[in-house]
Amino acid sequence: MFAQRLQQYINNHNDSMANFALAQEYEQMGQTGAAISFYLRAAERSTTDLEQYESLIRMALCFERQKTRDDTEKVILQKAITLMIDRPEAYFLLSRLHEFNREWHESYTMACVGLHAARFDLDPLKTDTQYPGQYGLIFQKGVASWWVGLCEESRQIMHDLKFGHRMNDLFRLAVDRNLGNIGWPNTRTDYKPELASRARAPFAGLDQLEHNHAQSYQDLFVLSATGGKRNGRYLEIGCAEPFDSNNTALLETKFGWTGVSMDINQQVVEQFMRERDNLVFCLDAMRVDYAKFLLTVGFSGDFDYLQVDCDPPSHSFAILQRIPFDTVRFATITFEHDYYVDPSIRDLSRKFLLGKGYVLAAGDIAYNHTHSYEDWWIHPDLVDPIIQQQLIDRSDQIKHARDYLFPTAK
Amino acid sequence: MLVYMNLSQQIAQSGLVKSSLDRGGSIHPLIIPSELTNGTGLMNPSIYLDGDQLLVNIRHVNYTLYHSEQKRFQHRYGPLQYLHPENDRKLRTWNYFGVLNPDLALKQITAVDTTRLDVEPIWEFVGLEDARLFRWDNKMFLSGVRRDTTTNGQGRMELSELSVKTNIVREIKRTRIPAPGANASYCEKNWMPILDQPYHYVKWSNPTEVVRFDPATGITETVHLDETKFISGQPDFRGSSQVIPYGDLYLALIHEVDLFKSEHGEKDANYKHRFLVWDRSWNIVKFTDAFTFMNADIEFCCGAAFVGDDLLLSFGFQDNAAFILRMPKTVLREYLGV
Repeated sequence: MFAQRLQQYINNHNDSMANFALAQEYEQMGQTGAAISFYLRAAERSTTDLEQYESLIRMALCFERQKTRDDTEKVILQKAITLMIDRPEAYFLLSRLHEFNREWHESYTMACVGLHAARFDLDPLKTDTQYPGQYGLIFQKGVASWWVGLCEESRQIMHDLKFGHRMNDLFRLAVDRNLGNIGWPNTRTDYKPELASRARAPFAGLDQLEHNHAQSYQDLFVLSATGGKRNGRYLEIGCAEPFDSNNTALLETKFGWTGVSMDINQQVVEQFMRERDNLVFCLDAMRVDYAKFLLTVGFSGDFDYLQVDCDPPSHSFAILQRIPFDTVRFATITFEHDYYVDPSIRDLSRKFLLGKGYVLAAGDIAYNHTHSYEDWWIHPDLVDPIIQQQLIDRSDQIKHARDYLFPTAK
Repeated sequence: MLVYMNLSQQIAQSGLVKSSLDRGGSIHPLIIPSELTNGTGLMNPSIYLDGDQLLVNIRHVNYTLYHSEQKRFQHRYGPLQYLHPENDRKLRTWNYFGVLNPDLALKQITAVDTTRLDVEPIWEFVGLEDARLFRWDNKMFLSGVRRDTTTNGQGRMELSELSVKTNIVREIKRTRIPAPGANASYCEKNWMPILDQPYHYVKWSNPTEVVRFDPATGITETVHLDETKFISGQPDFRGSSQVIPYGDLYLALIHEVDLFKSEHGEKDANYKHRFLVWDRSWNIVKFTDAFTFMNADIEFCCGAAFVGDDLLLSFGFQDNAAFILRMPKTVLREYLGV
């Protein structure tokens, strides 16, 4: 192959592709100096930005292999960016190079600019540039954000990468290691008694509450919608741990609710059994016949609360469609669509629940101001109309759970 | 319309390599595994036929030449830059001694061990550069320029005598060659060793100056210089290959260089080559038009050898790649006309 490429070059020394092909042969042999010469010739003789761009990218990768030519590598990648500001590869490589050199602010800047300016629906380049996809730039931003002092942003990015992106093994391992080192993002929004006076829909018993358990006030939403109902009933699909970030623990322990929970994780189900009084089952919620199940466990008629929270969100939606809404009604529903991870489920679930007669009380609930992950619903026939008025927020903004349930100004 | 070009025109337009390949020649890359070189430049090889064994010296450098020939993607510091490691400002040269198979593939390659004679370099160009390989008085030599022995980078030709064993090639004697006369010049380089005249070099070619170095006295003297033979209208004919016997003539490949600056005052360069033929009295009987090998702006030849029906020329491409061109003698004769 090398001999052919060399012959092609000799026959057409001004042909950019002949230069590029010979450069590739040298690069594959580790002869990066020679490769750089021919890539540079290719770039200078090409008439298309894309060919020039890829030649420059490959030159930068050759210099990277040589090591200690970082200044040159940076300039070459900058030239590539100026050629095609909407391609992501050069941003990624430049951000990574700055990262290798512990130039954190530059690395962060380049990742942010790349994420803003690049298009991620373009055809890949002809050659492997080590750019793994959009998540590579997100990863760069995540790493650099930690070192520029945006620690919570870094945790959040790593968390989002872990749960929201299909990554290659290298990045998956790196994300796990980073989360192990820097910790997980704070996704909890804890209730404090001083918030009571700001409640959007105050309910009986709120003034005696000292804390809650749910991640983002789901338990307080349910109590708000039901007026602090005592002895209510719930169906909790994807319950996870019995207290930590659990949506029904407060309902059971402080308000006397009964209900049935399920999770696919045997370990948390056993823990739930030990620590909670209400029913829990280890089940694959995707396979449950809910009409039969509810009858089996002795529940019939309306419920006050339905939680659907399974991973991934497509599973949650599949489960939602298995609920016998024609025979069972729920005063409140919290549905986790994880819009920030997978934008495809939220609108499907909304269409489905609207079709079942539910009203969206609050869409795009988040534990921060950026990560829409749940919708909260009410049934108009099962919730007091005055409370409905208080709870329904028709804005399409992302709603921090605290800002929604405990607004600073009503 | 078909346009007929003679060989000289074709070489000027397409390069010596393509014209030779079109007429039965061949091209052979010289590659040292990157594990030994970090992938940086292999350049300016020097081929030599030692009895029936084909040998080659390959220069390896720690830098990568960045040359924006068309000035479209220039380096931060201009169109032509020697990119040394950012933690080592020195431009370092090492030499690799190779044995070639008859098909001109490298059979064996060994770094020339200079450690017994090395001293701490005191200038930024380190090592023996553009060394020509040859044998004089039954001793194997590399002869090139070294610039690391003075704080101002003064360049002098050196003779490095080699001890060649199966897997060890060692420099066993190093002799710095003074310039003839007052030895006052700043830089002497690219002297072309005359293969059948030990310790004689062609120092310049327009007019031709032949010098002889006496190893016994350490003195260099000019033994031929006829300034009346200056060829007007031609550039400096600088040295490149060894001077090799060509029938009852001598043949060498020479180079000329156009050093110029960009509008911003940044250095740039363009190298061209010619064949030069002398008679035994050092009268130039032929010089060709200027040409390139493979159409790059910076190429350099350090070796020439007749082997069978071919002339072998070893050359570097942009200081980053090394090749041997096999050029049929018939093509050479057609080109030279002598």
